[in-house]
Amino acid sequence: MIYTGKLYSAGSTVHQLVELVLDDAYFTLHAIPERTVLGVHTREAIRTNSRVGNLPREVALSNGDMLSIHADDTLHRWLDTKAGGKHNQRGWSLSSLENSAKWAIASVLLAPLMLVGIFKYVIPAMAISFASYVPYSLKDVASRHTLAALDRTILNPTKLDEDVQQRLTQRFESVFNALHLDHPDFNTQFRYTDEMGANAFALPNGTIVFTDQLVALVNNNEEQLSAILLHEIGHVNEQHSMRLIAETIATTVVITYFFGDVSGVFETFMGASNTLINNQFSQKLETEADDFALEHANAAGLTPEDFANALESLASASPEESDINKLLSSHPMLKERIEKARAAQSSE
Amino acid sequence: MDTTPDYSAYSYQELCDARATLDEALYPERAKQLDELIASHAEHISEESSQVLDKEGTFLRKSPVNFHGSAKEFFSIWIVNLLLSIVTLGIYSAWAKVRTNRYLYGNLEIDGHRFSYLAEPLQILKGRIISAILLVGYILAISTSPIVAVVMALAIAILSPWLICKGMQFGMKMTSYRNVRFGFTGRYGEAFLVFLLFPFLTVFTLYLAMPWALKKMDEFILNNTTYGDKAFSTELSGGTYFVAGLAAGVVSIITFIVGISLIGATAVFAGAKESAEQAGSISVMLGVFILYFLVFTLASAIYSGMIRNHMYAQTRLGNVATFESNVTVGGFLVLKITNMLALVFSLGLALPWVKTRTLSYLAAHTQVNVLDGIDSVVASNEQIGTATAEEVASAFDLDVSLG
Repeated sequence: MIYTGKLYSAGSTVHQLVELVLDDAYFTLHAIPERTVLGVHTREAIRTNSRVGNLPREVALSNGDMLSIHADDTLHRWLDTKAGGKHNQRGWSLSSLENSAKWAIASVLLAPLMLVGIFKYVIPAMAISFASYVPYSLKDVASRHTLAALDRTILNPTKLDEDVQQRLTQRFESVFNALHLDHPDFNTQFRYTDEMGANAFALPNGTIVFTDQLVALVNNNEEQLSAILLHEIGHVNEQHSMRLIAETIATTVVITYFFGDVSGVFETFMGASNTLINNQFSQKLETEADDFALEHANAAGLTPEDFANALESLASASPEESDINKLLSSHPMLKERIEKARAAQSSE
Repeated sequence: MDTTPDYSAYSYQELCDARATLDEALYPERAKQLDELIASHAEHISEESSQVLDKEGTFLRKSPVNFHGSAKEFFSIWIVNLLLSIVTLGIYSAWAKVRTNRYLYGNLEIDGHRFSYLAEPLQILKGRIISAILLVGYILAISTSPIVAVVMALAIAILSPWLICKGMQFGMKMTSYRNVRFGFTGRYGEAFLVFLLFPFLTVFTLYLAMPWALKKMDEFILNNTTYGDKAFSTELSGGTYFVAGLAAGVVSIITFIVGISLIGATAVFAGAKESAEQAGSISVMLGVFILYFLVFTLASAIYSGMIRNHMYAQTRLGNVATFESNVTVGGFLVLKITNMLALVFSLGLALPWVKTRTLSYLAAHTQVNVLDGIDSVVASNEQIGTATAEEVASAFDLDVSLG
């Protein structure tokens, strides 16, 4: 077989047209149009990169020259055969996968499925084992720094009466004690805030913060506040902060490396999809914390109904939800959470 | 043994070469096929003028830039590589990057010669592992403590010019044309000024000096890019950057004001029916989101359309080549908006199509004036940079590009 190609001299842009005559174990290059022999190259002496699409093949010769040549199947196969190896009869290669319609269709179907699998099962499982490796001292430092930063910015000292604070703190203590948790130091704090509204949040070291507005929203109702406390204890006990961090990291890495090569226009979508995925992770953790609260309600001297009432109080203070919240919110929809709590109540 | 080669993938120059060297007596069929293909190509090629350029270098010929990639072929390569990357939990993504880049570079042809992407997957993989570890450490650190987060942000800012330079160096060194590699000679000091200090200082001019800072960035990149032993040089005009910036700014502001009033009016109308209040607030959010995309696309199309042409016209590669670009703002706009819509409605599957058509569009609107120095470029031995720097830079969103 005879092929034409270009021979680039080592280290410069000088090139010439050549003719390649293929034999079993070597090929000969002839200058064009003079037809003088330029060299004989055996399989052992050349290096070639793999075939991609319809590109000309590039062959590095032993003297540093580079040959660029449009190949047909015969030449492709010759180049893909290892020196001293058997002739690659089937011509199996990455490129044949890439050119196969069957593989393309399979990939269109399988790639999204496997991505869902990774996000739904692999990453959460990894996050759980990651969270168990984070030492308490690190979580403690992180929590202190976070609370200090919040105190300097959006949180203010509580304006609740001393005796209300004391009464609630005592009740919360009894909940902690009733649960027999092996966690070192759970403690509750109150803060006044204009920015966060009625809210409660847990830091990974066991500090749980209630806003004055939340206390006011439920009219100092100890049962409802304790039910919310159970939900927050669920977050701490199951290491949700660390799991969410791990999930955020994994999602960022996966999206960067699976889709990063195609950046540009895509970047904005990557940011958006990152948020959507993280919302799903976060919603799952909220559901777990709800389940924790419902399971431990009796042990803490409460009922699932108390939790349902607390959620209803929250719902009364927030705008009505629509289905799009399922995508855009970090929390599951309140009405579904309330229904679930009521179902737990009636099954008792 | 007479299997006809697949000439359809040949470029015009390659076809001519093949025809010139074909033994017609032996292969009459091939000769006929080649003649037909050459004739069909020739219609698209503009006549060469024989002007002589001043400065150095004699004008040899005008060459179009051709992109031979097809969306169909690239889609198949991309999706199969994506699947393999997912199955191997990301390990294969290094190979995927090399193969997709090889496809895109290798299909870009100027003056009868194609570009090559030379990076080895293992280099990329090593870079990715290191950058993934750094990224994990970074996210962990910033979630641990706001103080650490500030320290880390400062550290990354100070490191970023170095990462950008090393990353560019690697990217350029892995690109070759006619068996000679490109290179990048930018250094930390100037990169620090151009990428950090100048953009920061424009804050005090209420960003009015931003076009000037962007001009400095483009000049830094172009003036530090080399091809073998030859260096690119450019002198950009601040005026053009200001006009482009002003046009993009004014159009964005007008679009934004009109868009917001439209959304506001619609929301008020919807709000009249009280039950629709909630639905209203969500469509407002969606509307603002779409408006943001529209303004962003509009501004970038106007800006890059105007800047690209100027940049190409002002840049030369020693006695080797000068460049021309004739993109239009309208053309860019249509391209970018249709790309965006295709991506959204295909859930990202249109990406290979977006890539190939964008390259085809840019290639079709670019010409290279080949000068007589082209045959005497010699490879040089600058530093290669590291794949790690490139990977870290892209993981931390420090990619830089022209325009």
